[in-house]
Amino acid sequence: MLFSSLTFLYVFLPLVIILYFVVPKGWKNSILLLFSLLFYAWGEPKMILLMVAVILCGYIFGLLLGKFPKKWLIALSVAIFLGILGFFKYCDFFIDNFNAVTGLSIPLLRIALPLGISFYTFQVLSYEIDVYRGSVPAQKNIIDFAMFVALFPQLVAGPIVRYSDIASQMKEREHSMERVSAGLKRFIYGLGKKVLISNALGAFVNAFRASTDSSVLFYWLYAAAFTLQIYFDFSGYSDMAIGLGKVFGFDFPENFDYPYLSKSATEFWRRWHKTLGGWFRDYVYIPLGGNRVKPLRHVLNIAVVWFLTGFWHGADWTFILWGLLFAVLLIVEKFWLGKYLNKSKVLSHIYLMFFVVMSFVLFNAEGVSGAIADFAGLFGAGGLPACSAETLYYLRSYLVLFLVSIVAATPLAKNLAKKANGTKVGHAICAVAEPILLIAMLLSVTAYLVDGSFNPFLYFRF
Amino acid sequence: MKKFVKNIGIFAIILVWLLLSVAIWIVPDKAYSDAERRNLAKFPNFSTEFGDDFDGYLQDQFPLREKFRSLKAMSEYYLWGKKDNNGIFVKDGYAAKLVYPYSQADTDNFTGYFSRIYQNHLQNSNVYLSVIPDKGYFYADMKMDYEQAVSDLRAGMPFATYIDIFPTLTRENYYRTDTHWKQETIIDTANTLRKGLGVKTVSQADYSVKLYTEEFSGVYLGQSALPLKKDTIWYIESDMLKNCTVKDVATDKIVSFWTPEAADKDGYNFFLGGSLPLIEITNPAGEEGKELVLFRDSFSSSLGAWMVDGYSKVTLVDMRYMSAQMLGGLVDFDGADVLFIYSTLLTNQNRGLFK
Repeated sequence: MLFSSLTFLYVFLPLVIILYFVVPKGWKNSILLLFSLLFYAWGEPKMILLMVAVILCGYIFGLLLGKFPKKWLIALSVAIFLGILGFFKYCDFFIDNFNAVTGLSIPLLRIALPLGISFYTFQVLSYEIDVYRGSVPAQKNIIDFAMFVALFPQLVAGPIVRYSDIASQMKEREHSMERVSAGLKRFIYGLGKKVLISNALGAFVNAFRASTDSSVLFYWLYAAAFTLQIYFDFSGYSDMAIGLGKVFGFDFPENFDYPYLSKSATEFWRRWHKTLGGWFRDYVYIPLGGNRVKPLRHVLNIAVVWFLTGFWHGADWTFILWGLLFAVLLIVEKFWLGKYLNKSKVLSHIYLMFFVVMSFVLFNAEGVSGAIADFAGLFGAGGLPACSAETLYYLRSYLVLFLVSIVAATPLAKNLAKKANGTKVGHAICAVAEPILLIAMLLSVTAYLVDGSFNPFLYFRF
Repeated sequence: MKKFVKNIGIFAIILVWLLLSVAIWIVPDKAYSDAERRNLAKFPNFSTEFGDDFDGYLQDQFPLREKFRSLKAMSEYYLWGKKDNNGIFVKDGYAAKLVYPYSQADTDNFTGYFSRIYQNHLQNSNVYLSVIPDKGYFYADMKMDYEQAVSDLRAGMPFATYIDIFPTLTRENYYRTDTHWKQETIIDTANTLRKGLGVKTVSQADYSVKLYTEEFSGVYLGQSALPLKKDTIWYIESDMLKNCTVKDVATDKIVSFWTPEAADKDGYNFFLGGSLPLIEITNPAGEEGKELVLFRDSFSSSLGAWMVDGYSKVTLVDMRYMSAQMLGGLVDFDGADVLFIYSTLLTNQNRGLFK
């Protein structure tokens, strides 16, 4: 089930919220678990078996690691979960590449990728490692553990919530009108980002892909549109997840912090998909030695982490190259460019955005050959015209959206609201205007969903 | 009290949310959407596909569905400044479909299909070709290459003499809310065709123009979901037309040039019964043995009346609704004038129709 669906918004969510607040305290986690499993099973009922298997496996290993924190046991546990992820997500990638290298033609397995598998296996992995390290106690209550793994707000698109983030909230958490209010508001803002902005940018991206009258300008507009689309989609989902978490009494970690304001790749990754960056830092980079090693080893550590980060996003060379591009940028910044980037805010911002846009062209390309074709288009190779009638049509048609998206990717509106709230009159205006804006957003989102507008799910490869 | 006032905003949001959530189960389901001219999804049966089916059902049966569709369309046009909404664009109150890009593959399919019909049935006929520009030709911001389309159609059907009707038409010849042209305004087009076919032209004075309805909601009115003004349907009438016999060959029933009984869901079906595969019009005032066969789409439902004069028999063949194998047994082409007349809406998108 998608957050941006009528079924979720007007059937599932009201039902789960009402039941959650009606039942006694001791049943709340069971209700969340039950609805989380229903949420997961809605689109692909068969995959619920895999989810249950991961939960049972994670639970048993957690208990064992709590009692016997042995290296071989954590290694076995990690191998099993990475094995599950590898089998479902990367099997065909490996077969395909093996075939390409050896000339064999081993048939692909064509296994459907279970929704959110990268997110929930990483959550379970972090739990197992934390229990092994003794950072958190093993969870003895299987309902609570299952709820942690399957918790629907963050199940399919993050943020990656670690067990340690919410361990205490599993037993005791605060419920209040203020939290429900803040949570629902955050959810609607996220929903608006996803449906009103990201989906519309997605329609532009689709129009570009279907174009028969392309141009260099169209390629650049596409690159900008996808860069904005993926931000609004991903951060919109994170907002929705964090908002829903708040409604149910959880405090999920923040995942995005206006990443397109960054002035270096290092800063970008402190602002973009923070929970994933944090996960790789704590469970891969630091165990490898982090930066407390010789320079060459340090470079290798960065390369390994970003190779894995890229690979985590999808089973394709484009994702690996995407990760490695950031590895190169981070290494160059760390050992040379970093000191120059502080000298000019404008130039460093241009530098960062250029590479971010290029990276997302790579990210969204259809294979390496598609990426080469896209880069060629961006730089006018093959006699592509600078502009075309179709480009101008879509530019005029999407100009307002582009402008709104660019402004919305900055904290401008947030800062203005904050400033306005600082005065008595401004505060009164905001108190009236915000609910009106939120209702308008909810109704607009509903209108777009009722009309069956373009509503892609970008995380099917994650 | 202070707390209530503080939370009044969130209460309002929750109230709207809950009202819509409850209305889903209270508002009765509809079987058909007049605006979109399609059947709506019913509550699904339980199966492994139930989740997806239910999503589709809810989308179709959502309370205030038409209002929400309008809200979305208005947001697209007036808030986001989009040039089209779901491929429908509106300018000066005229709605049309974006026909873009030009499809060489569909053109090839079209010419290939009708070339086979020519080979099998039309060797002894006088064959003509004409192309009706869709409304967007006159005012779309982004349009296909019509010159190329016509050129390729002509090249693909070299056996047919081309009759150019593009110069006889303007946007005002079409309904504002529908794809089709207005019967009462296309006499110049009809006469251009008639000249091309070598028959005498007709005079407006021989026909009276009568009102059918002022409440015509064309197909784009529903699709655009914008509050457009409805159209008026006028039609032509004459003694010659009244004396003709119009037969729906598929049912062997006598029908008429004017069929209000067929127009309950689509007002344009007032003309010649709407989507009928094979219609024979017998004109007792026509020249003995002079026959015309129109291979046509729905535009000819209103054009037909202008083409009858001078012919003893006019046959309208809509190959979208009949098999090419049946053609020889149903229509006599020997010595007849045969006119292929299709809209660019169809010549540019037909691979699912003509196989």
